[in-house]
Amino acid sequence: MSTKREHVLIGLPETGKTTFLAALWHVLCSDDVDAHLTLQRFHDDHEYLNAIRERWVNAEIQVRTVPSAEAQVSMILSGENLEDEIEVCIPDLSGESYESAWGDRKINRERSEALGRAEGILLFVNPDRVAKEVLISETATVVDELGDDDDTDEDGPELTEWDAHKAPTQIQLVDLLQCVLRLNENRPLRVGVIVSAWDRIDGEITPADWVKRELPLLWQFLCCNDDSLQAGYFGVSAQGGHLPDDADKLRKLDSPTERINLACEDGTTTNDITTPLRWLMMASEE
Amino acid sequence: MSEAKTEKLVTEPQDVILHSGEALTIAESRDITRARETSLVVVAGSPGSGKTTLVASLFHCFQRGPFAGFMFAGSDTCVGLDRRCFLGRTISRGIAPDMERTKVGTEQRLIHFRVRPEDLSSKSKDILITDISGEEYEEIRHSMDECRKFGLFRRADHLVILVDGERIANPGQKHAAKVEAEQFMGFLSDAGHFDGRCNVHLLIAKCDLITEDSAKRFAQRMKEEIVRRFSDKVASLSVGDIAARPLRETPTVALGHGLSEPFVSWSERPGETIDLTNQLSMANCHSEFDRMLLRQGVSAAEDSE
Repeated sequence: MSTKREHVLIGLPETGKTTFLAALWHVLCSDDVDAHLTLQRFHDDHEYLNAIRERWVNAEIQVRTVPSAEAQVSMILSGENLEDEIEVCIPDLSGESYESAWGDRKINRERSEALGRAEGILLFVNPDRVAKEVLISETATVVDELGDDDDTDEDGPELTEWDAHKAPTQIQLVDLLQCVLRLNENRPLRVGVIVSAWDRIDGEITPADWVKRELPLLWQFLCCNDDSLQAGYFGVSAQGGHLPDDADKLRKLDSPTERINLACEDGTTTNDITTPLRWLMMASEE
Repeated sequence: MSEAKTEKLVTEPQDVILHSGEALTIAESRDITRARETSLVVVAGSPGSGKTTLVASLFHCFQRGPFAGFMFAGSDTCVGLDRRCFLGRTISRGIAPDMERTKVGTEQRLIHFRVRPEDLSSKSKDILITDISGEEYEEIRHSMDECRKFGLFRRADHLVILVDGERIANPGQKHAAKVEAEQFMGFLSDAGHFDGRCNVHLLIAKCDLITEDSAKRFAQRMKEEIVRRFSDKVASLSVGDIAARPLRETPTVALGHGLSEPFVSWSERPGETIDLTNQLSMANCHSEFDRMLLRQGVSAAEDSE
């Protein structure tokens, strides 16, 4: 009899949740990687997992998960220092659901219940899609240095209206975590922050330091709320390149698992993409 | 300040409505004030003096990193804060930072910050900040009746009075700006709002616009006079210059210039676990506002029995 655990992948649109899940399923099914977690057996309907895995191994762009197509997947897993079998349930909730939670202040009841049951969270961030706040006062100096432009309309362009969906990414993520905590009745949670497309990050930097540098509001929030949110940081490249440009190169690899690269907080790297999930599950076992 | 709560949400029956994230009403703030030690900060000043900008600037600063030795631990009003920050961003397509004016007659709204010392040496603290409209400021400094009615001053742990630095820099307006601030403080004092527990901060806003030596001297004398006249009437009186969101950031006048010291005061001297209905009875209700607070307190007590 398996012990059921629910962990949720959350993040704004196009942050790599589905690609991560596809690569994870491949690693669990293929036995190519000496992974912390192993698939104990097949069970249930794996059509969705198999479909996204197939697109992943073929180096095809994943179809964006829309709210109507959301699938709750489950896997029977085992691993060292864990109970014999754990059924891990992962709703692959679309990024649009979380956008709507911030911008429209509503969420589907099923999704809210899934978040309320969650025992751990993987929070995805795509460095290529981080919207930052740029202040007029920051740019004014640059404009001054460039000098007057005679063609500039003295009245300036027409002001736009405030739109929640254009808020800086880190504000949305903090608010999202606050919503999750409320739905979860403030039970302590582990939050694995997954910085996706990690192969596109320049320089020697840890995932934690990247979050501190690029999403300082989120970083502060996680540090301050360590009693209710225990944070871990991972840099994940699940694709191994940029699609569709790198598709041919990726398909020529001997094994698709060679595309996976995961950076841990301690500076080590691995292609064991089960690492963040195992980290979440270790908390459940404590 | 328009708030999303006035818009009708289009929802499906299966949707769960989440916490709005907008600025809190007095009633909504009770969840915070009843549960945790909270500082209540009231910001007052003439129209356009920078009250809302001050609040937005704090959030701008936290988006860059820890501020004044504190880290951002959360806010129940992230949406409200984002609204207030919008006109300072390039995405607004403005050519100069601007701010939507607080509308007169709107229900009092509070912005929430939860902060924690950067070294995590103690638990988080909550700060509620509200501003009064410039028009209400004018009413209060002209009428003792109006001044007495404004119950929020009696409950404030910190009262911030902003003087518009742009007016101080203008020889044709500086004297009026000084007189207004002194008159406002005088009315508050005579109305009994300075009850010995209120910490007052007189801040010259937009100090980056005060460039002439004569204007700087005037501002300094003004601060000294106010300290001399009012420091014995309040728990504490601090004066300073701020440029919450300067027109152009420079190494010497950066975002949030001058805000650190008052913010530390708000954060390190939290009020009691305040219930905004505290200490009210029908005998000392001076306004519908006070009576509303008292009714909420009575109904909460009945619910808990």
